[in-house]
Amino acid sequence: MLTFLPEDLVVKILSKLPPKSLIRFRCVSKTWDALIGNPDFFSRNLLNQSIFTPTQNPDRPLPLLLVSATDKFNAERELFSFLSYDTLECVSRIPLNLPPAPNNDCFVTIPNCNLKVVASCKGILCLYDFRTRDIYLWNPATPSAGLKALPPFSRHPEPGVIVYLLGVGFGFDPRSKDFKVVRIRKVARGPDATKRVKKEVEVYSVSDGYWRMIDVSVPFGFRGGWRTAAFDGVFFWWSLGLITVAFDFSDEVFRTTPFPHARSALYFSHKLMVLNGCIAMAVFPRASGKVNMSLEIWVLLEFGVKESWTLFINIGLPPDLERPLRFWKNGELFMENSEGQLVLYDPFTRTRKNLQIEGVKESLEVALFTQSSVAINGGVELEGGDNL
Amino acid sequence: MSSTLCCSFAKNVTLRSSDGQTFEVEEAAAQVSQTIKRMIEDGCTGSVIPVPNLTGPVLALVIEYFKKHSPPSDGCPTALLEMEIKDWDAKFVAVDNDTLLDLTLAAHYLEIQGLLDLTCHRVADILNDNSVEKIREIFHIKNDFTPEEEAEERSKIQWAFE
Repeated sequence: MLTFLPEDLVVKILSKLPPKSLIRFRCVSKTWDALIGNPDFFSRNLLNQSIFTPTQNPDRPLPLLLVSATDKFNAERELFSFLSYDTLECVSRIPLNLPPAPNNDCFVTIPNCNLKVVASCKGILCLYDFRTRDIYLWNPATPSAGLKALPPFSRHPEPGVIVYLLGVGFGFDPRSKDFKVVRIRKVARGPDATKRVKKEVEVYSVSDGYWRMIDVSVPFGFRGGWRTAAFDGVFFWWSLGLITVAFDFSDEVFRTTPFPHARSALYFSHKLMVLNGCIAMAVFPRASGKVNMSLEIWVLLEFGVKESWTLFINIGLPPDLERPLRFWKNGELFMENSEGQLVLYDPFTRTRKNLQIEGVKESLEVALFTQSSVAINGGVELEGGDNL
Repeated sequence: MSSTLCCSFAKNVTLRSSDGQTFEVEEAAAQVSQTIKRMIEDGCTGSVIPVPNLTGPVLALVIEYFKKHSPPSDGCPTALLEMEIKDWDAKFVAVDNDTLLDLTLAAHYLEIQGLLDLTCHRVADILNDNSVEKIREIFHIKNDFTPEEEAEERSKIQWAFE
């Protein structure tokens, strides 16, 4: 009997579908193709899917937002601010003083920035110290436990061998219920260190307490670096070889997906982000002061399938907001401005709010943090805890 | 003002479907529909309320929904009652596709938020489980792509079909 549903009703129904089904239904008719293919509709739909909010387990409290920043007046001090996910009220601030470094001659990626938060996972932060190349696992809920570095690189026995660290990743292996750190290093021999280059991969698991070399081939073109993201037991790197590389902590293998929409690195920055349940790529012009700044967010709907990169949203940005950091619950975006301050920007209303957190420029990062009382020196005990 | 006063004494309202069938239902139950609630507030209760977009069988189903979802007379619903209503809801929309779409439209037209969410979720579940061809059939949608256009469209998004 019935043949016609009004368009707003069709939109309401379609907005309850997962992205992959939506894409498939572009083939139903030209009307549906237009509805689903419309970027504005698509992004609103994904918003309805609450892609911006973490999947909520009613038994567990909401995670906190962790903002890390290097102190403007003391590059040896990192400031961690913990904000309520709902209200953005600051519930705790923990400064972390880095241990003294004997010499400071290493390669530093960002000027005046000595520490990188590799990832935040189940209450544990993995930190990398650029000065000493030390990797730390740290539970901010028990700050008195202090920083304990994982076993360092062993010196290579052969003379004339140069070892570079390409990348560090951190995550939780749901299969062995263990925290794992992976590091990829490049070993170069010969006088100009370009001959006989080999890439080696080592995994440290908290229950083992030592590094073990694994026999796995590193994807061609992998250059490591610090454009990374982590979720669900997988760690991702964006490599300038135009690929996204993922390390799966359960299977201990690498997987790759090319990113065909990359722009020239001369003029554009690329940053991996995590949305609810998928990995996303932010592409934005290098600073600064340009009018008509525009930020593209691409979402990888199916890992391994380069065609499934989908333009999620295209946002016009005020010129002083330079680096996107993370989405908040309703599509608002945490950004770092040209002064190194944290700003919450709403692309839909084009309003902004300064969150009164600042640090060395380009040092700000925003991550999710779930409190726990995991003991990291020794066995792993996973239990709920909120003694932050 | 006088009509509002009058309403509080009138316990039942009469609804008339597009094909002329009439149904008597408690006023509190009928107010699950925002559209009917507004009409009652505007003083329509004295006469029959026309519901021209719904046929008799569909209106009869909607009235079943009204009865189950009318606010309980003794105040707040218990958790047990909520679970029972949830089960009832699931069975209520386990109907053939045409009836389901009729109910979706009815919920839309009568502004019954709970029923609209329920039916839209159910329709989305059906969509998710079916092929593109089957969806055209269910929704009576004419495929206006030429075979060449459709083949091209599909090749662009082949990954979503795997």
